[in-house]
Amino acid sequence: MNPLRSLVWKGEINVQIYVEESLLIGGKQQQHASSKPLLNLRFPRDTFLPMYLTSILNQLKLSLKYEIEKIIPRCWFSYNEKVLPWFLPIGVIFDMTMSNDIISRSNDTIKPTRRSIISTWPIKLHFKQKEETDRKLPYGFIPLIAGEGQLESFWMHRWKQACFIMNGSSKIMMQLARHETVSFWNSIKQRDLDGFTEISSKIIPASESGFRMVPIKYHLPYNNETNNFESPIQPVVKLIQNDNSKGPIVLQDVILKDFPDLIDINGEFKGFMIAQGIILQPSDSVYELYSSLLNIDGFLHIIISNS
Amino acid sequence: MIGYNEYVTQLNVIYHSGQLQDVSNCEFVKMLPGGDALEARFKYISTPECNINTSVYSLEVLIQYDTTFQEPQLAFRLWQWDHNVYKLYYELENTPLQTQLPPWFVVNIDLISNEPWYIVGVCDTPEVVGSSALDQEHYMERWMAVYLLHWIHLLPCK
Repeated sequence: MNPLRSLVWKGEINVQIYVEESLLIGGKQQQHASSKPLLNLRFPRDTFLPMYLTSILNQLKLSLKYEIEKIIPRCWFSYNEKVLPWFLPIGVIFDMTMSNDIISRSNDTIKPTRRSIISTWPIKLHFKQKEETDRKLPYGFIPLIAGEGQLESFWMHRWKQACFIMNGSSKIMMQLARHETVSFWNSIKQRDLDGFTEISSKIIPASESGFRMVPIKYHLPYNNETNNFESPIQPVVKLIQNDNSKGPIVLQDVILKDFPDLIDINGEFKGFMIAQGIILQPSDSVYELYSSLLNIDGFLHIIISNS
Repeated sequence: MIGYNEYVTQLNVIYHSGQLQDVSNCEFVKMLPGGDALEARFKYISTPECNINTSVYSLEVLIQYDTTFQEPQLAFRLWQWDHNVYKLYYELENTPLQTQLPPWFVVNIDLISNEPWYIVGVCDTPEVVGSSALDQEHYMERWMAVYLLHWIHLLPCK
């Protein structure tokens, strides 16, 4: 197996969980408590936040004003007051919110500092009571009303999209046996790379020439000026050169179609591209990147920054 | 599968044909700016068995184009009339609407313009509607009949 694939699969993120004061026993008197992290946890990059929600709430339950079952469908996490899109893998959301940190850390390689080695991600848990009008729920919020089944169904839908993009049909996904889809989902929960690879290799074409297109999503980094996260861009990426030139399709070839401003007047590439916490090079082969850095939903998520 | 331009043309034909507007519980139908998405609302009154209280809903429906699958996509959300105002209602599982949707619908909640909608899966649309190669000219008409019209007019509204 590709050694980079194994390293990426094992990637983890240090997370500090803050909790909105209205969720805590004591309410406004807990202002002090809500300004400091109540939990310090470590999450695998390639998993989803809701997978840990029950565990987080269980660890906090002595401080919580409401029952866990009541909180789950009407809670969300935020970073700097912006709703985090739980339906994206944790590592993708981290890279979107911390892209500046990742870029500046990459400059510290000669003389690493503590900051360049240890990075923490502060996120906050919020809750809105049912009695309050639903219109007050924030933009970008998807209620988790059916628990893990909803997450699994959402994830399956993403794989159907990825399968269609790669093969021109979702039939391979739809023809997986029930026990295969169960073990595919379990491989993510149990962090079993071999199990994940066994099923995903039935969906992903075995060679570069087998790809109709490559499932990629571009994300813009978190931006203080917008009210919420921007919707991702899903480019059309084929692995065939248009002009009969040989050699693999590289990242720059495909990125510039959607982001022509990333090249300056001297022809120099001036942006940053991040996937799985790694800064990518414009000359990286798209096929190699997909094979090594694809996320658990079948897409290669790339954060694009022009800073 | 239907190309975007053909989809837009056929969607506009359906909009002007009045098929949706003629459904008895239809509150309004409008073509959204850009001409490639159609929004409609249908009144829906639920009277659960063993319960004298009725619940009044407004079912908001959105038809748009899925660029990945190159198919029309049906999205909907439910508004419940409560204290003289419609409130967005997420818990489809707790409404009789769920039993009135076609059982083959694969429904997920996803964001459209950063708001949550129930979205009907589109990946098996060619099998449901029949290949566009058979009768490309009436693809959207067949889609509309199967995905929306055959169940929407059965919703109780009195």
